[in-house]
Amino acid sequence: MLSINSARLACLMLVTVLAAVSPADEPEDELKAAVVLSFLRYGEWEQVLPPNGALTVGVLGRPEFAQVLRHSLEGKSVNDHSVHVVELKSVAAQQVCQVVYFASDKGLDIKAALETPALARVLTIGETRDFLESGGAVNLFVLDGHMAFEVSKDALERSGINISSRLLRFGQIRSRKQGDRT
Amino acid sequence: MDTRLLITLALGSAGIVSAQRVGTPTDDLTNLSVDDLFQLEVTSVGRKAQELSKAPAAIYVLTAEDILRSGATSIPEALEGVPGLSVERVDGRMWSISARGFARLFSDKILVMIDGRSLYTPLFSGVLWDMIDVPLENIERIEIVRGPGAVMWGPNAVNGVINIITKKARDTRGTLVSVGAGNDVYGSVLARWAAAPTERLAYQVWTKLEDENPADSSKGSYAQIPGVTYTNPAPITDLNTESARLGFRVDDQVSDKDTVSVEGDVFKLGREDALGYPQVIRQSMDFVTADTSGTGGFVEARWTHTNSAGNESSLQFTFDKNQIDYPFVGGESDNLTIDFQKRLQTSDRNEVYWGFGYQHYSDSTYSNGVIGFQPAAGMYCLGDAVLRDEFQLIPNRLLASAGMRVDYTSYSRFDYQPSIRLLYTPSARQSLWAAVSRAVRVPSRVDRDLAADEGDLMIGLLPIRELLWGSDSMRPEVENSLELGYRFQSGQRWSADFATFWSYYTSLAAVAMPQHLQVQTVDGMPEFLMNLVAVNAATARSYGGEASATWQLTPVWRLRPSYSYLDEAPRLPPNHMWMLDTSGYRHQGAIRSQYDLSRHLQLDLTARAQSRNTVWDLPGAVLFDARLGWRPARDTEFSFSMQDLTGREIVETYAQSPFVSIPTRRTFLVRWVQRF
Repeated sequence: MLSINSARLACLMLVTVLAAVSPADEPEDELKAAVVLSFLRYGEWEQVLPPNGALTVGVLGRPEFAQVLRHSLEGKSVNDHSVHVVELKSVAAQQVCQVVYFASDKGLDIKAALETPALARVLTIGETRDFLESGGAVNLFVLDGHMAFEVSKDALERSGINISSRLLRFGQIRSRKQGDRT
Repeated sequence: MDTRLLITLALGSAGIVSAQRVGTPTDDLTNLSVDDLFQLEVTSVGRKAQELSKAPAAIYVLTAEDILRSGATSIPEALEGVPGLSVERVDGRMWSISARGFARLFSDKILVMIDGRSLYTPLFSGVLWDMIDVPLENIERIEIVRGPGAVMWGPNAVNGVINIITKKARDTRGTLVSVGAGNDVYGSVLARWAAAPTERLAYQVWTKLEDENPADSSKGSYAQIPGVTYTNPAPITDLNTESARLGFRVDDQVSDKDTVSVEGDVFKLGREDALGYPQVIRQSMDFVTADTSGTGGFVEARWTHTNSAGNESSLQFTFDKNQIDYPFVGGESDNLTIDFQKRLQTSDRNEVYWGFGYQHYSDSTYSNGVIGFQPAAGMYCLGDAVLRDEFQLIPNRLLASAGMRVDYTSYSRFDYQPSIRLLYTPSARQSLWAAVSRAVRVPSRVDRDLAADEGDLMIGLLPIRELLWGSDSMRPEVENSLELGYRFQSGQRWSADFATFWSYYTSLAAVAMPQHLQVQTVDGMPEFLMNLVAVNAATARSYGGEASATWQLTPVWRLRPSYSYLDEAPRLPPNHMWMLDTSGYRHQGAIRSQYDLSRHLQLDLTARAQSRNTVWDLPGAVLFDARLGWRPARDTEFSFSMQDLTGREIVETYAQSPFVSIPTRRTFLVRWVQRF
């Protein structure tokens, strides 16, 4: 039986937490932004960048993630290359991105977008369960309360991008059987 | 009730609240090293639920953050409020923990593992919770699986599995010192040091010293049979327990494909007990105090070989040795296990798991005559083989899993435990699963070799001495179970999990009452003996369900409500009684609130409710816990936690043995954690 004191306590708990509700950023998105920056830091692109040219990350899907990514990465630099973030409406016309991030979105046809020739030399990062199977290179997810990622070795090889083992040792490397359907 | 503290907390938190985020005190996550980045706890839970959606079983996970933010000081306290799990306090050191019913001090239908090492002892088919302690700071997560899990997890996982997974040495690099003090845990010190000299090698050593006393002028009570309880004539003031532990772990990636982990610990424990020995049941009991001691340790080695992502082998060896001396029974035990498992992806749609294991257990016991074993020394061997196949009937939509475990034991010869599971995932956000399983609980030394003196039972004016005996003819207890579950995840905001089950048990252990009394003479006087002998005579039916959800209301506030329903119907034939009565609460509910007042300040509140315990006639109750954590710097944390805020004094269960039960009480703990 709930006593009066217990009921009073429960009300207090409720009042306390209700008073505290306030909108804010997604913490998971901030961690994802930091992981994206890590891939820029530990990646090597065959495509030659102009001296002091920008490293560009394109974002498809959730506009709020593009905001978080811009907030976290704009102003940063990697090996003397400044980092820029652009929102993409489609990948077909993209010319400048070294990384394209597929922020999960209901309306996004990820598989079709990944087959676009414009992404052949781009590091594709996603956050959906079938991202590697759709042809993506890196998939971010949360495992046991921590950020984790899985990498398609074949997709990386196709794109000619080399990721340092110092970063890859934190992820799961998927083979052709699990990662790609090519 | 002291609500002033809560009012202060409430007012304080309301004043501090602003638009702040959950997370670490680090201002800019992009400045973190990759090592630190992947160690950070992610507070958004929806995605974790998505990962769980791949499991065709009822699983609940306590993360390291959940455990530390619960304010728990031991593993059983951390497990309180987990859906489907009965966690009942006996005296604050001993616990009755079980899943989906059959809860008692020596719960025998749940498998408990730490890093794949089973804590389930063939001595009595259960877990000595009072002898186990894993520093909570070392735990990566605890997975709680309800329902039969033998094929996936190991033998004797009849009603569930508690799988405790500790952190890898690499994930604990640096030095950690944790110091706590309060009115239950008087003093607790953990010191841990870990280093990773190369990218492949990491090692960790730790030591923990603890002094606790869960009693404080507490009312002590005992019950041998339902309806007959005794109260200790004096308040219980001294249940003091002192323990020391020393542990280590080494993880070495010896090649690109091979990883070796070795871990172990040694412990020494001494404590005071308040005991009640029944003399004449319903009329008199002897109340005494005595000492309990325990020493022991274990070593575990695990080798994992990964040929490719879909081709992995692991070989595990464990050995543990314990000397445990309760006031009325004691002994030493050696337990050795070897286990090999292989996972092979044979095609895009099919994975095969197979393995085999061997266990060799031996013990040597002694007794003061109240509870003992005949013969005093025993040996038990178990060999097992398991085969399981997972096939994608419809790729990424419908998964079928079928498996079988076969055990060969010294006590029961061949036992088989099959399981068939289906998992349907119409979308990444939803999954529906169903399972049909048969599970067995193999007989233990208690079933076969028990010799217990229950005291004199008065029948009219005639005292009859009640003796309880095991039997070599005991067979495994068998469970057949149907399960159905559904999970739903809505973005990163909330997820929900529902499971329901129906189980039927046969060949349950009970004791048969004799048709005739035995008469013997003692000092020329006749004495009547009632010999109760163990038999597999009882059956039971149980059904119920569990619902749990995780709701990230805002990035700084997470709620985890849960509710469990259990309907148990044990059936005894005439002239039989239970060896030990079991009890589970019909209704259980809990809600955990984790709230980040700021980057540096956390407020965590838990409410736990359980309905009346009908077996022991114990009242239902709602208990509240709270914790306030302050992280002034990234490496420093202070916390103040209180259990049973309202100070409700509730006896949660009886030990049905000479051990005393004491009620819950308001306790507090101040803790300082410093990393270097």
